[in-house]
Amino acid sequence: MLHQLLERLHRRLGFATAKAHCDIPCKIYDPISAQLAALTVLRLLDLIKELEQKESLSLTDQALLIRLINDKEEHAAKVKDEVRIIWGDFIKQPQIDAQADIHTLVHNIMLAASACKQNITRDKGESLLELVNQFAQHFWTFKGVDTYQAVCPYPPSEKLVYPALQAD
Amino acid sequence: MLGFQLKIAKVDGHSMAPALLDEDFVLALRFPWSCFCKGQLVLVNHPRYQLMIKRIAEVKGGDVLLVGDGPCSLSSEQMGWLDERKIIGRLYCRIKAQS
Repeated sequence: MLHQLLERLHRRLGFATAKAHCDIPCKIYDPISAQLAALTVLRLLDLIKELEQKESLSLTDQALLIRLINDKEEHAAKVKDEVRIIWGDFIKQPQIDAQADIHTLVHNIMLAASACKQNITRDKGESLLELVNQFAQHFWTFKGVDTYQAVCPYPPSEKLVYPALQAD
Repeated sequence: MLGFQLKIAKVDGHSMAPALLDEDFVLALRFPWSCFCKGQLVLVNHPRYQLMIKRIAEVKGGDVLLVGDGPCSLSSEQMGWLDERKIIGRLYCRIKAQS
């Protein structure tokens, strides 16, 4: 509870952020975190839509709506963070040479994630997921790993790009 | 003015786990009479690496040598001896991100 209070203050006042991250590149990168965050945004948009269909919102519904919107904000920001880390730390000149549109794609993801923060329509979430899947596709191509698309086995039951990793 | 420094900061990363986890909040305090000892967690403004949280590994005169808890942290050698005046405060309180 105290953490939630500080988190709200942090959003308003912007406390300093102290680095405690791994200072040496650990080389552990995976776009799945961004994909799951994008899926979460889409799921939250669906849940917000369900509330919208009610004739009136009870106090409990209103409290739920606030939670859903807060989580949508948080996960849209998480998409940006996760993609930015891979873009900034993993992608270097050889990857840029291989996929010249990577900067545009990343920029489009930033814009799409912001659109998800500003709107509550499902199409914004679908666009974000589509772009993040494209990013994942590029990432696994850079790594020389084949991919496949499958519908995730949980709501919102959307297609994700998965790496086709083989067991030893 | 009040004679002490107080700063609230949000932790970014896992290199101080398990003492501190990503997204924890910490409260750093420094009083005029503060003295720093080996083992204390401190919030520092490092001239090269900026605002960071590390543990004091050694104190010599008015300088401190810092160390990270995690194996992937910058080494003490990389961070070098740091003037104690660069310490914003000792961490007195941790507000966990996950209970």
